[in-house]
Amino acid sequence: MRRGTLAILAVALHGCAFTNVNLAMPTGGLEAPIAGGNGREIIVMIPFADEREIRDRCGMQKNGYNMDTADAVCTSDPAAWLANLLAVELMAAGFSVVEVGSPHREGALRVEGSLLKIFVEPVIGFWTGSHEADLQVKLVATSGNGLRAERTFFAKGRQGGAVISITPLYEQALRRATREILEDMVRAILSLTDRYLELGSRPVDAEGRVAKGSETAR
Amino acid sequence: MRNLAMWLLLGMAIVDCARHVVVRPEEVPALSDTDWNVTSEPVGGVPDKRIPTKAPD
Repeated sequence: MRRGTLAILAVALHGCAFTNVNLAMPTGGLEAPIAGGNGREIIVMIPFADEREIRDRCGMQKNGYNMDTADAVCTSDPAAWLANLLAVELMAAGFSVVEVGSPHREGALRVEGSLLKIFVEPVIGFWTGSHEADLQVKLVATSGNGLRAERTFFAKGRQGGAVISITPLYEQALRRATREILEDMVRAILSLTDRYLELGSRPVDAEGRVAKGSETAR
Repeated sequence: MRNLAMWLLLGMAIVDCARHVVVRPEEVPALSDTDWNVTSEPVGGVPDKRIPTKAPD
């Protein structure tokens, strides 16, 4: 009799998830920084533009019947958070990250981003479920000497094996997506600066000497 | 009757696992670009020929 009551209670409670999830944004970047910046100058616009379709929440809570029952709410501005993480990661990669408005070389790469999506949600299965985090960012890279390039990045972070939907699982899924998209963005910026070697580098004359007066403030 | 219920539950669990493993990974690639879309190149510099911008056909 007692077992029967417990079973009925378990099934009934499986459908309950009415509390909002407060989603703390991951603070750490990549476990091992990517090398190759070589002191080239780069300006990261902070924050990114917030171009999400859904801005009032960063994900959803679901009940056992896969119904949207509550929100996952970002505890800080996700557009500023991701731009800051990218700047830190570029610094770790060896780039010289220059603040907006500070003197910089003419060929310094200027990176502006738009946050297109951040959404974390449980994917409910019959026995267990997983949590998935989607991150999508568009970067526009320009320079004073005429470069303009765009690229969109998307990452999906998964945290599987969940029996119940709890906040740490949301955060672990988001951490995985964050690391993936950061790595993709840093590698892409490295590929762009390696393709056009004058980007962010100190200009040299025909004899290989560093040119004087090559810095500007904008 | 009890056996039938058990087999039903087992079948649903297998279908559930298959949905997680097989269906999900295909969604990702279309949402990312594989390279920069360069609409204007920097003046005064030539792309470094040592680094191919695209893989040869």
